Amino acid sequence: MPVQIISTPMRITAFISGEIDHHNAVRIREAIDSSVEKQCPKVLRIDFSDVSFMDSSGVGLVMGRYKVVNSYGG
Amino acid sequence: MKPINEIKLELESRSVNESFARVAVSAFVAQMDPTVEEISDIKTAVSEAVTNCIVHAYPVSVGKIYIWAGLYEDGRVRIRIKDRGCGIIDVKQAMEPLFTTLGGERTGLGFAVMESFMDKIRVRSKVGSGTTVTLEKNIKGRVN
Repeated sequence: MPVQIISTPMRITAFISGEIDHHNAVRIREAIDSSVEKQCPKVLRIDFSDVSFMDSSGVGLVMGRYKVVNSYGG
Repeated sequence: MKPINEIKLELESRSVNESFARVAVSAFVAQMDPTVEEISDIKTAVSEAVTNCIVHAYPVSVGKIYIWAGLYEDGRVRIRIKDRGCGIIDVKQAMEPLFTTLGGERTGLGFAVMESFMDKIRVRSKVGSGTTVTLEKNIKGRVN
């Protein structure tokens, strides 16, 4: 799995690894969104330390997650 | 000017092929002894162009993506990414940063990324016939 999620009551941290392109972004997005929907965290932290490649799909991933977390009150 | 070496690739417009396309082109360019940054720029630009073919050119079907890359004696690399998809109605508008015809997670940054990571970009498109994106970069390589 290219994303590992660690949850605490107020915060979700998503550790992404490998490459983020339009193909991989779908699975990463689904994994993060499903955790956000369950937990409605105040803060979502995305860790890109282990990302070796990213194109504009990665930017879309961040912008999209901001909107999702915002819509759940985060 | 004729290239000193060239390759042609033909791929199906399946998103799983995005990584293959960028890695194949960058592996070919590697013989010019580019820097890591130059390779990374090319990988990103190719990824953007191929993603555009998959997302925009063939939105509801699987079509062919034709990639050609040529290396030139003066250190230039030229990459052509062509589709026979739906074409772009207004190329100038499509190239504006943040402009996108699709909502959702598309940022409208594809052409802006290609422009900023490569030295030259040319886009030719005809509605109903397809689009050809030509990218060019001067490889300076490592200075010993």
